[in-house]
Amino acid sequence: MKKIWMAALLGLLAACGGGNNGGGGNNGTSAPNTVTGLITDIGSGARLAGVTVRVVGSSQTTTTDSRGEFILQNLPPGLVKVDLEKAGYAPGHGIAESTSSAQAIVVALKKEGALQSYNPTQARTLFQRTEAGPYAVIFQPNSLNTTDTNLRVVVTPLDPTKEDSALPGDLIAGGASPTPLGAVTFAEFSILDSQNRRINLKPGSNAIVELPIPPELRSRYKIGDKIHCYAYNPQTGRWEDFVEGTVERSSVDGTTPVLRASIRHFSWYGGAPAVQDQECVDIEVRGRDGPLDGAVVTARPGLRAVTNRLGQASITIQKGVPVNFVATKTYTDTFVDSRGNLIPKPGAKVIDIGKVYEDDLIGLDGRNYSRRPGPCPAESWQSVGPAATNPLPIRVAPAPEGFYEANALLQQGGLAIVQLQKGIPNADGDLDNPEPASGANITISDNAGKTATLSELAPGAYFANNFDVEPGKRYTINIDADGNGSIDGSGSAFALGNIAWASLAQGGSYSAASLTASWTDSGSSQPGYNALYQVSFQRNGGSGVSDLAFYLGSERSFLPRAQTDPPTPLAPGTYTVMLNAFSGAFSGGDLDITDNITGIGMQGQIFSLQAVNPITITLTP
Amino acid sequence: MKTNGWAALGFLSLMIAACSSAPQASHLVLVSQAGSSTVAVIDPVQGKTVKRITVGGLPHRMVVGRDGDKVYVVLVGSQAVAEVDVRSLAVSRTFLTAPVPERRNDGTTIQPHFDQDAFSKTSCFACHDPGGAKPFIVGERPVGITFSSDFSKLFISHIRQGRLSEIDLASGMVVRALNLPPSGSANEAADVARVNSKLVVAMRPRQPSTEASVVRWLDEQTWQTLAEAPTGSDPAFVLPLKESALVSNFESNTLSLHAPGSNPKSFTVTPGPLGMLAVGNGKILSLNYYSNAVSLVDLVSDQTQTYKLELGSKVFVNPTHAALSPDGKRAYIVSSGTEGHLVVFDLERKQVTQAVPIDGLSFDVLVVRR
Repeated sequence: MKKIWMAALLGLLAACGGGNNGGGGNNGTSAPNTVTGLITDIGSGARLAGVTVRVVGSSQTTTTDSRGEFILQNLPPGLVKVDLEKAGYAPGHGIAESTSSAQAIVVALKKEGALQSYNPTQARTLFQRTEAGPYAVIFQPNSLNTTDTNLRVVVTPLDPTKEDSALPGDLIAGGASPTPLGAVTFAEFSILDSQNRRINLKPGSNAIVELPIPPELRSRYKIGDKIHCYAYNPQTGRWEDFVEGTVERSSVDGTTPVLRASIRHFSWYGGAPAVQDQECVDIEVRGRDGPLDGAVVTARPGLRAVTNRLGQASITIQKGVPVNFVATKTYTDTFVDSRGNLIPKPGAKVIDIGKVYEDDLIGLDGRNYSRRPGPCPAESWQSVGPAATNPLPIRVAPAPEGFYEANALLQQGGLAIVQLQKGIPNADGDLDNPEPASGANITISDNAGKTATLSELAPGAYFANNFDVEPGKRYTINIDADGNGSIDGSGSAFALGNIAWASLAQGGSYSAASLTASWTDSGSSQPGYNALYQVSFQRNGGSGVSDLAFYLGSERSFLPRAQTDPPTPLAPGTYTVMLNAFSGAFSGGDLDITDNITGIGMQGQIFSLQAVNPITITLTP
Repeated sequence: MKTNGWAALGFLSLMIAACSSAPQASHLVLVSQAGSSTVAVIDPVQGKTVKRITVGGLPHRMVVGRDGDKVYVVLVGSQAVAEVDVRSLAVSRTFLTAPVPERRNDGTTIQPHFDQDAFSKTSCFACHDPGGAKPFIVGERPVGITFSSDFSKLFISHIRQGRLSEIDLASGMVVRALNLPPSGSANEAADVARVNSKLVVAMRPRQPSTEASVVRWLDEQTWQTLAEAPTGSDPAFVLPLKESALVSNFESNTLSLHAPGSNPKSFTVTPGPLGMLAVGNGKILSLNYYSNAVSLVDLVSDQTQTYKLELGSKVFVNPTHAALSPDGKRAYIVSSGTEGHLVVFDLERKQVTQAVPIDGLSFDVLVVRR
């Protein structure tokens, strides 16, 4: 289906267009010691109603309304931690400060992995497979703190390069001088007994977990590298229990590079080394009437800051990697009228949200935003010094009530095309009867400062005019779906290079015993570049285990062997060999990849793909 | 009258001066802050960090010299030890614990090491600092540290390749080094301590693992193996005692007491024992990382009491190491969660009395005279 609309778009290319803005209005109030929240589904972006919200350390509980929102009032000052629960989803957690003005918790929940049964008297490896590889937990016999032999284990994988907003809390080594932690790979582990109670390890026992390194990060982490691991503690709202894990090959499939570490408490768990290369960025949060005081900004990887009365803050981020900025501003006893004005109304609330995904801080408008080496000086966000000359702008507005799906293709060697649809999500998160979404403001940038605003060629179909997609470069799109000035969803992917066989050729004859399949990718010389390759060897007319070899991974070679134990050479004969490459997210064929355009009320995929023409070869013994 | 007025003013100014300068402690507390390449200098009376000394990548274990005038900080990420002068509270020297390599594991030349003359440097932090050469964490990963019997040398154990190095403190040079032979899959030298004229090395397998580690006794002079006994899979710290050594088995809830020629004796604490501190009268304070608690272990009576690290509603997580105040009444404990604290634990009242914010992911602590 995706290919059809892409093909239709390719025939349409020619024109320009645009769309923009709304706004204007007065200021709302923001009550002290109040925390509001908006809970969505990370997969679909849909607002989630009926989520139970519990304040940690208190009896205060509430539930999200039909718009996925909640409000907690009269909280004691200080850090507020909430637990979020909804059937079918992994446990969620959020934090905010109870302070002089209301703050918002914006959390996405992730649908939990498949339930697997487990008898804890036995040693067992349980895993959940994704496009990145198998997420596994390895139990020792009798290591769990229960006598129940009928347990259920749920492993919920989370790829922080795509699903960052579902990670609980702040990824920060805090204390006297906070340092950001750079997320690598995560999962949530839940062990439930027959009565649905959560089970943990016996004192003095541990389990081993294996979490795949996301394809996008595999060039940074090699086999044998050490990565710091943490478990999320809902009681303190912090990532704790730091321990070192090692990058090794998966014990499940023998090939995927995984972070292997010991775990002492089942919860959210993952790897996130402390960020050494930091820089301090000036930001400015703007609302309907201009700069906003008291807006909360979080950066990933980075820290958290609150804007001053100039609407500005300085925030520490990791240097040289894409950074996700999210700004929120909360009004209480206020609502937004149809013209975007804030109107007093007792009991109502408004959560304004803005999001910017920046690859390089050169910016979507080509401006080189002001930043300095090293972390921001302590308390810099509190002082109102001279206005920053060129702050990164983050515009906030209410999250869209509608629901959007975006599909973006980076056409190798040329084009960037986005299809945007609006509709009502069904239970699976897909849109029923979608309609083209017009009037969106969509921008694209590469990792070298080249930017463009896409034109709407046809309803819901957007095209970057005079913008050449270059092989190997990373591209980011930011989508303001309703055109109100705030970014609703964003994502990024590398454009594929030219893929070609290196060790095989059409009509060639090779020894099955010494066969190596290797290929080249002209994008691989670009910094940070990563692509997934799918290779299959199928003997013509054969259907046995020795007639098939398959590879899915980021390496550019593999040994085609039958999946016997141990692996053995493929059977002699004539084979059809397929080689496909893709980057980003793409659902198709045998693959179902996690979306990489995310946002509130938005889901979608940005991707680049290439299929090399199938070749026929002969294997000899 | 006029004279009296000036006298009164002088007295007043003295009073103001006395009031405005905060009282100072007789000692300072040093904390290695692994996340920020620094050692924090904390005045326990003022209850705050008064100085941060940049020492190098991933500072972890620290030891203080015999005269109390030098502190040696193991730089896990920079393959070096930093010597901190206690009087000036500044780094006086650094020395490498292993040679700077010319080649990578795959045999290719590390050209920047030649271009930058890395072989003349005394710490990899000279180039591999934040914002500098990548990767930030390099080398053989030194972890354990102990003095020789005459305090003229340092013995350093390394995680990678199980290396043991001997550094001459006069020259700052490695004078002896050996990759210790593995025992089963235990090939990482996780810690080293000295008991009289014997070295005690904890050898562990690559983590995570469920296979056994060993505690190996070596002759300090010849490095000949004298004895070896199995212990848990992840020994974290070796505490030297009079004739024996106490080992924390981090993967479990046990400490094991080792002596050459004897079977180890086990003591049960709470999960995740890491650092240990002798607090007198045959008692050991065990820092139980995964339990957010400490245990007081009486090695003679085998009695153990465990205390949560809490002050009001605040929980202090992941204790790593502790140091004793000069009067022996308090233990300074590093709470090494992502929100770091130096926790003051009253050993008589058995409770936390104070907490000073430090960097998250801090590790070791020492007391030095002011």
